Formats: sequence, C-alpha cells, structure tokens
Amino acid sequence: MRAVNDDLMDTNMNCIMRNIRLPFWAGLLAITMFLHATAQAAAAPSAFVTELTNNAFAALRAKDISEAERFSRFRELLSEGVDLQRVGRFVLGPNWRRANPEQQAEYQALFSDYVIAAYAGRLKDYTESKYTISKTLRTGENEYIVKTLFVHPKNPEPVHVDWRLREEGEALKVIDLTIEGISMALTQRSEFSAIIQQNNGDIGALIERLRNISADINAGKEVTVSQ
Amino acid sequence: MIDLVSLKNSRRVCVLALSSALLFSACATAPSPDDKDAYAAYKEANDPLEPMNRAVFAFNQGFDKVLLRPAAITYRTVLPRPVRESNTNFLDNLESPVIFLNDLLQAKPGRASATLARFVINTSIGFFGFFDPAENMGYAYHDEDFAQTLGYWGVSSGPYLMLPILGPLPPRDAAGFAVDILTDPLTYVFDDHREVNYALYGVDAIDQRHQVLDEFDELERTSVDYYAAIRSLYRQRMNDLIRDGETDLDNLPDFDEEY
Repeated sequence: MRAVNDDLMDTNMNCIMRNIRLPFWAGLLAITMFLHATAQAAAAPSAFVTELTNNAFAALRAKDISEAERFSRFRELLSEGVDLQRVGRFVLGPNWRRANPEQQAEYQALFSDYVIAAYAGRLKDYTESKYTISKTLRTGENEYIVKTLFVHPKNPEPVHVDWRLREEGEALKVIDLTIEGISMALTQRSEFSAIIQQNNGDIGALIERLRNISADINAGKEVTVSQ
Repeated sequence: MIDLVSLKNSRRVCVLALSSALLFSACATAPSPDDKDAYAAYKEANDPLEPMNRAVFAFNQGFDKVLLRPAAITYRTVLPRPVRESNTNFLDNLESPVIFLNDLLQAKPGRASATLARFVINTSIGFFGFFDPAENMGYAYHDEDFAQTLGYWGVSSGPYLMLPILGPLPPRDAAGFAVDILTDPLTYVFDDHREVNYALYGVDAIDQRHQVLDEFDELERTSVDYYAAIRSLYRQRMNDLIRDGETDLDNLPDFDEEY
C-alpha cells in the first residue's frame, strides 16, 4: 500500500548495478527502459498538481481581465481538475441517502458553486507562494497523495499541503486537499452535518444555507480588505 | 488582560469549575439511537455540551473582535516584519524546555537532541533566541507539549470543550496545558514577578493571532458553520501534531463509502 516510487527506483537500480555479469549494453538498455517507465509512473501525479496549481494561480492573479472573467477561468479549472461530484457526496455523508433525487441534484450544483467561490477566496493568499513537490505516495490502486510545501514570501514558515488524487478513467482528479494535516473534505463534512443537525435533520436547511453563502461570498469578493 | 491572567494562573480550578457547573445547565439532547444517521452524526461530533460550547464560542468571538484581533492588526501594522519574526523566534525559544521534556516523554531522542541543540545555539549565537541560526544548521523548530504526549501514548481528547478566552480545550488538552505551565521553568523563574509571565502570555497570544489573521478572516467569511469548522480544524490539527505531521495512511477519509 505504501509504495514510494523513489524507493522502488533505488532498489531496482541497485539490483541492476550490482549484476556485473550483464553485458554492458544490455545493462544500459535495461536501465534506460526502467528509468523511462518509472519516470512516467511517478511524474503523472506530480505533473498534474504542478499544472493545476500553476493554472489556478495564474487565473487568480491575472491582471488584464475582469473579476468575472478571472472567476470563470478559475471555475473552469476546478470543475475540470476536482471530482466535485464525488467530494460532494462524501461531504454530505449518510445524509445523501436521505435526500430525494431533486435535492441531490440541487445540492450537487450548489456544492460546486460553494467550493469554487470559497476556494477562489481561500487560495488568494497562496498565489504569491512558491511551492515544491516533496514526494508522491501511492495510496491505492488508483490513488496518490502528492505532498507539497508552500512558502509565502512574507512568512518563513512553510505550509504542508497534501493533494489526494484519484485516477478517474484516463484523467487524474483531486478528491481532497489537506493543509497542515487538516482535510478540507472532513472539515466541510462536519460543518454540513452540524447545519443539518441544528435544523432537526432537514437537508433543505443546508441547501438554503449553501445558496445564500455562495451569493454572499461572491458579493463580498471586491470589498475584502487585504493588508 | 486581567481575566486572561487569572484564568491562566488558576487554570485547573477553572477547568474543573466550568466543566462541572455547566455540565448540568446545558447538555445537548442526544438523538435517539433508533435514528441511526442522526445518532452517528452526534457521536462523530463528540460534543455533548454543544449548546454551551456555542455560547462560549460566541463570547470568544466577541473578545476576539473587540480585543485580540485589533491588537494583532496593530501589532502587524506597527512593527516591521523582521522585528515580528524575531519576537516569534524569542517566544519559540522560551518554549524549548517544555518541548525538550515532551520529546523525552515520547521517547524521541533524535528530536530531543535537536531541541537541545536549538536551545543552546539560539540562546547564545542567536542572541537570547531573537534569531534562529539553528534552523540553517539543520535543527528546524518543532512543537511538542504535554497534550501531544498524552495523545502520543493513546489518550483520546475526550468530548470537545470550548473555554472562555482560552479557546478549544477538551479534557486531555486542558490537562496537558496545566502540566505545561507546571513544568515550564519560567513559571518558577518569575515566581516573585508574576507580571512577567502574564506579559509573555499576552505577547504570545498576539503573536500567534497575528500569524493567522488573513486565514481566519477568510475561513469565517467562507464557512457554512464557523463553529463546526473550528471544532473539526482543532481536532485534525491536534492529531496532525501528535503524529508529527506524518500522514495517517490507514485512516484516510473513505471516498467510496456507499449509502
């Protein structure tokens, strides 16, 4: 379960190197082929994270376009790169089953709006940061965790961000983001559960709250004071 | 500041008095175990005093709005960044004895010696801890306290508890907090000048608050339920600190659960 690609590569490299009876050219060929295969397997998840981060930051930072255009670019990237349907179901937890099909559809649409609006704000503080990818863990047959370190120019303390990725068909998708050990999906799940509990199990109350908050967040975007 | 001071000073009494007095007044009504989902959600929240905790949280938010946050903003506005960083370094260095003790109590000799090296280097070459040359020598700062030590040896946090001014402190962490103060040499060094300790607590609170000004503003603005967000955040962060930042691969959230 816990295979780290780097370790795998080291072990295999050592085996190949130690086998001195192999003719030189065969050894070289084997190494080249092996490196090629490993590089492909290891690069995909980290390359995905690099591309998504760079594009999302570029969208949020873009100066020559309107706020609306900036937001729509960000929305497009997130809809593409995050499995919002799966995350939405996880975040609703057992309440998903209790919702009727119309509620489920309405919830999913509002959840996507909410996540995109909330993260356009939350990630803004990070867009000036430099980041490095520290390692990629393979956590399941089609799952990875890419560990990254974000350093803000104004803060010497690096922030640990883990990207949990899943292969959906051909494409990789983000299913969770963990910042300093805090899973965004788990946090949202407990918030949503609290809202439903406070309203005696009424899923309609959560749907109403999501509708209002997305509107509020979008309305407040320009007036946010940043120091 | 007087309240903060007296609370911190008599923390044990306070924790006990508060939790027992309020236990009787404001318990959440647990849903019937027959309602499986509601009951599971209630168990997962592990917050039987939620109505009281929410009230205390509202009070703390008021305290933050009126005092702590403005103080932190002023602090950030008035002092240039290098000065603020030096203050953080200085306060971090003062924690070293407690961190060292808890490194040992968790049987982590490597981390203990790193803490010791940091303390020696930063107190001397780092000019009483205002600078952090140890970091560049390969001894990066890490946090430890007695609550983490208890957690490391398997003590669970107990039900969520929100205390006035002090914030989230479930029983395990409240006990840890008390032990930290009792095992901190500074508590005894300034025995006759208690005001020095109080001043340090105050500066520490402002220093910590100013580091997360933007993050918490943004979180409050974008949260569906800010109280529940903080509750979840606090627990996850404590667990992360207890694991020294290692990912708990056996307990990742399950995105495939079927309902």
